[in-house]
Amino acid sequence: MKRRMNWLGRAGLALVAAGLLQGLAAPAPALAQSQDSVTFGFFAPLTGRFGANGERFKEAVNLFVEQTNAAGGIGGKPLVVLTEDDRGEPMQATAIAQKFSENPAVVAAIGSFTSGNSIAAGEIFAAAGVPQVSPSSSHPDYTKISKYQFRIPNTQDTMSLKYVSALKDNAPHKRVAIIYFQDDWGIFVGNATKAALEKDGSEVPVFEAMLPDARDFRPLVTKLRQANVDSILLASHYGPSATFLQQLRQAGLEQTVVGPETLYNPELITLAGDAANGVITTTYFFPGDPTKVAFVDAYKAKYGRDPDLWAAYAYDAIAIATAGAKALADAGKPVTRDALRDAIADLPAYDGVTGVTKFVNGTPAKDLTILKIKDGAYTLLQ
Amino acid sequence: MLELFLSQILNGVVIGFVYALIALGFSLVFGVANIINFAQGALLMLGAFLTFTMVRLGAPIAVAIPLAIAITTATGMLIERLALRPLQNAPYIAPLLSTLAIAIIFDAAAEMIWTAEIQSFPSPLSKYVVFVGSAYLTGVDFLIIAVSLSVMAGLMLFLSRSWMGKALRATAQDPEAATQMGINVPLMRQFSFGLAGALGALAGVLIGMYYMSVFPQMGIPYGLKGFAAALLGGLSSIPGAIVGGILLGIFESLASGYVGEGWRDVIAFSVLLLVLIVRPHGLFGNKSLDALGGASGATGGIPTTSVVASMAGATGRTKQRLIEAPLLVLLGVIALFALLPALGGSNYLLQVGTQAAIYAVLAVSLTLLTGSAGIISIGHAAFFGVGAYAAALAGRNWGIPAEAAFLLAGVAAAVFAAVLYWPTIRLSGHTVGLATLAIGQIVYLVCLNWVDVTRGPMGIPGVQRPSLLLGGIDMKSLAAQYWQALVVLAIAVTIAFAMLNSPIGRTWRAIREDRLAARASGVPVSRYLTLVFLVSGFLAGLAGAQFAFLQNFVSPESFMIDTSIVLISMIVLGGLGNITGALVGGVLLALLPEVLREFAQYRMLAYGAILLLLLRFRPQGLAGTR
Amino acid sequence: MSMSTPNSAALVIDKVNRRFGGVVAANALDFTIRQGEFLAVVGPNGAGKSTLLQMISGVIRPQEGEIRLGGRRIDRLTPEAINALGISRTFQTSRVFPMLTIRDSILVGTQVGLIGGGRSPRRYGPVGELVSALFRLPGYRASAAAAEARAEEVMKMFGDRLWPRRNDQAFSLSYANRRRLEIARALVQDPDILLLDEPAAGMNPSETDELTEIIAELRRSRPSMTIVMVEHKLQVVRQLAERCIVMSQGTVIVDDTPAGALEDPRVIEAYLGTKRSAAAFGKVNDDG
Repeated sequence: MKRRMNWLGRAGLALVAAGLLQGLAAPAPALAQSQDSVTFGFFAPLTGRFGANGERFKEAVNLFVEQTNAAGGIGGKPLVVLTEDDRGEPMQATAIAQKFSENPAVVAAIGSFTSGNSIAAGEIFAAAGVPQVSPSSSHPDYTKISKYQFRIPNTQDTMSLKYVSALKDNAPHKRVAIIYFQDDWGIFVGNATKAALEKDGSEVPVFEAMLPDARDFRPLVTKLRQANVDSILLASHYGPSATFLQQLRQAGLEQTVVGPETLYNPELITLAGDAANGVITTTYFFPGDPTKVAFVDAYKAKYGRDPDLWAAYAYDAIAIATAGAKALADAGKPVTRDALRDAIADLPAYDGVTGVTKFVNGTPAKDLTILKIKDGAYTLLQ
Repeated sequence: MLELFLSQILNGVVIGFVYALIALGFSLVFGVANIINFAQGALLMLGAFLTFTMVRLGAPIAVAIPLAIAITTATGMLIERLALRPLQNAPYIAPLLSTLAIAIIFDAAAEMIWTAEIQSFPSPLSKYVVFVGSAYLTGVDFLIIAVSLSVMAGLMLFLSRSWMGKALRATAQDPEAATQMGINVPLMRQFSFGLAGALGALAGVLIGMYYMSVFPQMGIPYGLKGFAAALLGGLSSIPGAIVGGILLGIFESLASGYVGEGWRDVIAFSVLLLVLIVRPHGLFGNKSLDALGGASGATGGIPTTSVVASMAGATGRTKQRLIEAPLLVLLGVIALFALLPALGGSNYLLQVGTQAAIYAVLAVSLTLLTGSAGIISIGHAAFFGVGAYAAALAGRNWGIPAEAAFLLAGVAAAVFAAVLYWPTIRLSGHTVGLATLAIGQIVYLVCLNWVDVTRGPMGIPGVQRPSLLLGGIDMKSLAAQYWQALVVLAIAVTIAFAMLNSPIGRTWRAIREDRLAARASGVPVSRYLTLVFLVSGFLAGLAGAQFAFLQNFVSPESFMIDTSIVLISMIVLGGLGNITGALVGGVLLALLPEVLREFAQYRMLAYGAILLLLLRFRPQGLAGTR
Repeated sequence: MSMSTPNSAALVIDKVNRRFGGVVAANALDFTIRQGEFLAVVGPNGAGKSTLLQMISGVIRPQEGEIRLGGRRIDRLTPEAINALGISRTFQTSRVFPMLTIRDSILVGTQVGLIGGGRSPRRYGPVGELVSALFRLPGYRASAAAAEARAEEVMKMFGDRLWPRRNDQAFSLSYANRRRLEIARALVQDPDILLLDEPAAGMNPSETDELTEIIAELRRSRPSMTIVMVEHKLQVVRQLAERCIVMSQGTVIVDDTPAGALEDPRVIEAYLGTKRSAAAFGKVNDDG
């Protein structure tokens, strides 16, 4: 029975392997190779558990590319974006980073959604000298990788102080419950807000993590009821938050819920219904803001709904990279990776849809808008 | 205090009935067809989303629900017909993976059809709320409890009273005898899948109402809880599924209430593992089902407990062509690949090539455990993770040379494997698979929660690539890492070869083929299983260290159940217990997502379809089972 | 231990009880098997014959009573520990290792000798064996080679039935060859006590004769080996056994020479429930 593999078999296997490698080595689309365009690589989780966020990124990026090219591109050259799906898996992110890095046409990378993937890819971009603009990574370690990393949001530590002041300005805060999502962002925000609240004399009797995929919060709600808290700081994503709010209000608990920008999402109101009323959130972007009407209208015309914060993040991320490239083109300089990195770092304060971005070591320091959900709609509180 | 305790118990009972409903579908299929249906979660999701779509299109919910159940029932029967019946003579593990492939296809398709977003689900009854202590009950809760109990009672009556039910039970106990009695066994299995589809859809609709929302990936987390509940109850027992579900719910609720919401699943799965150690057959388990393949053995075939035996028993086996390259040829091929950087391979190719080598090491590691020793391991990513964390932490804290880091990672993973898999030594068949799945979940969740050591979801960034002690060679470049990965692969292949072709490897295969006969022939089974845990864990740990050095970043999401599933697919694809097969399967499946990158959103769909077709047309694997 | 003295007690079955639900498989079983004895156990289906072998080999534990080997209690030991003490067995349902070749299947029986323990001194601990196998150390290789030689010797005992097929996988074998393979796997261990569970079942008359001759030859070459055989073919029992016990409903009803036992009217009644002619009884059973 046991037969040795014959030469034919071995040759066959070798051919299959060679074919696969050939497929991998296939050259990038011809357009990307040409010097007649400015090419960015964009990567995000377009499928998988963060697929919804990645899709918003992609929509905003495509909208921006369309608008830019309709307006004449960058110094007469069209803007081209190569799109890759990293599924939220670090191994995929590093492979994509290598793919972008070795494509000489790619002068900047936009992505990813999770800080984990942004960091994993960032190590490679740093080595290859590709400027990377992450739309949403707020992990402090991200911009510490190298001078090539930029981000649209503030870091989590400065943000956390802003959440705490939003809570203290708008809700009783002797005893505050903190519920945080069990990811890099949630843990950081949970710990930072707890420290800030306790430093200012508030008690935090309930400090609990929400696991990814968890949907049953009744034991937690029972605990909250017993703990008799004045208000709740909810550092979680809109999906589980909607379920949590429903279960909280079903249990008859009426405490004020304050959350960061992740709770600013029209889907939260759709999912949670009446339970969403009264929630106070912060955000960088609010479509009701009259100064953002051009972006909101264009997005709505193309996709049939209001843009959310994720769309706004990605829109600003690619806009800032493009602004850097335009600055080079206007000065008559070639758009190379290193030149683009310096151009992005030296951009004057950029007034985008998420507020004013001025980079200090890759990170901006922006102001926040505070919103409250009233009668099923976000309204400006301040 | 007592009020709080009782309130948490009540919370647990409510969610427990949800789990029970999911568990019933598993138990039914396991009882009749003797397989674990991984597609049960997908059926649940399908039922929920069909209802959601019909309601959104304007159908009244009272019409939408029965229609969704009917369609899902038909889907369940179709799955049996297309993905399982052709695999009657395939190795026992093939149908298991076939249902897994279907789950992958359904999940990917659902994401394309309904987008990955959470959707709100109509739940008219949830506005009625009754308060009990610090807990509360809604109208939906009463509906779920009523439906679960009546489904259980209905199933038990149906199975004990009706002709159809008796035929189903006969099929479960002895398919060959049932065939001789004139029972159409394939039809019965198909019927059980249809029934499981109906139960899944019902569970999906009720879960949608309970959470007032549905999302395309819902099948996996809820399916996992359903598994755990069914296993706790004893897999093939109908009342066991209900009791298992409720107990699981109570454990979780108490864990959340008294330890912390973040530790709830760790504790739930640990309790499950403890129950399995004390009562391997679950609370209501039936010992007659534990010798998988044994049912046909009792009626004349060769009795065996082997994962590579087919459902049709010995008579269903056919001679296969085994492709098994000698060690020197394999090492030669690896050496040829080492030329890639010299031939101007791009960084992208080297990155993907290194990843493929890591997967190949993992596949070799798993094929020793699952292929040779017959321990179905759906938690292998745990030891990969232990190795990665050991290497990352050692590098961060001590800055040791590469050789020491690899050795440390390997030994750490080997020790973890031997300790964590110790409880599985007494288990057999698919029960082992579920226990290892639970172990894998526990390790992942501990990595996620033990922030002080692992930094939790923040991961460990900036892992340095250590130099070699030998000659002080700098290993910082990607090409150096690629070569290092190939050397690790060569070492892994050599170790695996030495093991499989020694008396130890022969003993592993004897244990896989017939554990009782091996014991009666004097083989100390626990000793040899401990040895395979050690060797397999060591190799997985090496792969983990290489992963940490390649990525410079280690975080828990790389060691989730998805990775374990990919690994087991690799070794089945290549051929169980066959090193050449493990290498072929490992490299092919590692490269596949990259090759299919062009098709972005169809990638997972294609991945599932390829797996399904290969299982259908070459169930013994590309290179054959050894 | 007095194992070396001929006709000393090898195995003592001491008031053993075992029930499965309502079925009594062993009811105060109480007898002694002497060293070097060839004992046949017969009786109707469900009499508890196989349960007896399962209990001696440790697959099933008695609920009450003791089983002693050379004065040492073994009824709480695992099957592998009992095997290591020198008791080898075959199974009623032919438990071979389907995917293993004949050669490998038989070599599995040599593993306990290779690592030692039980009857022989312990030679390899788990880690020692791992290292020896990995680096193919000379001592381990020599032991493995000796085991191969022993396996070859045993295979050749069965004429051209097993040896030419040594690289065939067990699942491809005929029913009779699976039985031979199981016996070979037990014999390769050179046991002190050999338990055979219906070795001739499923064999045609000429194959049965051939097997009888092999066992008889074994008996001549290894007179000190104790053999306990459960067998339905009374002709085989008459030709081979020196002592015959007849079981019914979990108890021994007759303990005699084969000739004496098989003529006993209680035996005929146990088999048929009614008193019919001994000739008819003998005829039915000898046809197997």
